[in-house]
Amino acid sequence: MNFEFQSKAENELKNLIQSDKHSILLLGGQGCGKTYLATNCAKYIGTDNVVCVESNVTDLRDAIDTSYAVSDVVLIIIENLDESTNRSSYTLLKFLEEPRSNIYIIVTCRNIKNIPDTIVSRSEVVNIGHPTEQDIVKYSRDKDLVKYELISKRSIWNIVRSFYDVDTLYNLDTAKLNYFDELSHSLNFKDTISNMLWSFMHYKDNSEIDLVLVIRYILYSCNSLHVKQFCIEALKDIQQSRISQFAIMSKFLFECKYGGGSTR
Amino acid sequence: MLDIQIAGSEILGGNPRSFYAFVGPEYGIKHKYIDILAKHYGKYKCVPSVSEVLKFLNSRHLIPVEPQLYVVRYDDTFIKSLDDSTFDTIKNTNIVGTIVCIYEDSKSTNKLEKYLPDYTVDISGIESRFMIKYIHMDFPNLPNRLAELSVKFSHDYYQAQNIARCMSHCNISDLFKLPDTELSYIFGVDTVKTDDAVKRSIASRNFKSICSLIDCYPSLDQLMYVILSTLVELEKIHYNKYATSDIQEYSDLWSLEDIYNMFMQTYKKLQDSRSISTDIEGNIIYLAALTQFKTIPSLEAIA
Repeated sequence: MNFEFQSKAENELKNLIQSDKHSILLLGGQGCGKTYLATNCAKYIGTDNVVCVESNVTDLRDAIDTSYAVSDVVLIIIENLDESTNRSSYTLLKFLEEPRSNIYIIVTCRNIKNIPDTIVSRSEVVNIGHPTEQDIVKYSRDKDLVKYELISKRSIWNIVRSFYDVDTLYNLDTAKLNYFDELSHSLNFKDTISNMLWSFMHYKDNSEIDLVLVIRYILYSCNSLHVKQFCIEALKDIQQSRISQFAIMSKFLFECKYGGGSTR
Repeated sequence: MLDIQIAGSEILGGNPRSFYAFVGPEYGIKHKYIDILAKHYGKYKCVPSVSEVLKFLNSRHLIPVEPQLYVVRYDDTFIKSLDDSTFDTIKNTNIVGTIVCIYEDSKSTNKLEKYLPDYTVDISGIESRFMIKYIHMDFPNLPNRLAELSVKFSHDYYQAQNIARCMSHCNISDLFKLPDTELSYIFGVDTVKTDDAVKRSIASRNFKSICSLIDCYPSLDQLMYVILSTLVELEKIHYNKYATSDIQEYSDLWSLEDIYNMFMQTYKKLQDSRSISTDIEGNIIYLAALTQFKTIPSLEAIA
């Protein structure tokens, strides 16, 4: 499936590979097709040897050691380096310091701020960007037309910004989708923090909700500027820090209840 | 990275390198090695920067320089100056004695590992058997059982050393007769067995009790999360005086404003603890100190 927003990134990748750049950092949100585009690069490199690894030290070392042992051209795709530890980054850095001519590395990440500067400076950065509304509709209809017709009418559809969001909503059953429809009626933040923590973090069947989904939905649904600001801060904390979701959500609720102005 | 066992063997064997960079959080072991090196050379000097030591050693001296230990702590300028030539600079300097640099943050660790891997030793934690061996070296008269317990009660060598030091000042034979459970109680190991005890300390706004958690609680990071959950519980009790809670009796000590401000302060410290060089212990003491205010100050009031 070809999408408008990926074409530019794909061309950039092709140009970089043809300019013999061996280290590329592919930046994009969750579910935007980073791994798909990275894997596609194999055809520009002219190799079938593609290794896709998670960014933990063991897998990285294994992939690098294996590629050192062969003389064929190899493409190593390292996924989500920004979610790994510093040791993983350092393992990769050692390799980038002394690159081999038969090895191409594409590192994917969502948040470039979590990648050490030393790796960014040694790589060519390609930003995939975000899918357009047309891309999302095309993807959604092609994936499941019936579900698209049902879910796109609900208010939760307004927060869809990526293919990952589409996949997430398609995996929700009717009861869970109803939860979001009902949620918009309870955004007065007057209950106790502990009760709100439970209700905002669990569906009615007590299964856990994706916190990012809830906060983005509140950001869309709530008219209060204060609440919107708190939502943005909470999303930033989730993205950038390693604080537990319980703590982030508690802080968000405390702020909405005691810290801002009006709640709706 | 230079293996800690190799570095340890060199230092303990009286055959140290000319340069070490000790990184990692195990403060006690770093200083153990420094003590050994100081005894080996008989002379020990704290210097503010690596460049100062190298300048001294590279200059001419009428009287030959005697070997000694130079200790440089947290020299950020040296870290910033690290590049591909640093290794050769150090190798080509006639270092009479040993230079030991100490760092703890991960940024410095990464740079040192990159540019001076042969000299950088990660002291993040050592096996219990080595800790027991070092306790025996420091306290040769301490029976093996007490040495083992001092290590068992601790989460790092520095703490184990302090416990062993206390033990060594006691009547050893009386101490030896006590069962392990009694000893663990004396040294505060079981004082904070559960999060409930932590909650009580926070809810009761007891400064001394909160500070005592620093040495006893297994993870200071986790301690901050317990503080946050205690405040959530206090907020619940505020609206429902009949809610079942271990900290119900302390609810009158906290207004809603106090609960909110304390939560924000704790969250801020938790965020700060994610940055490279932060003092988690200091943060806990800061939070404990806040509980002593009649009204917990807001973040804006402190800023």
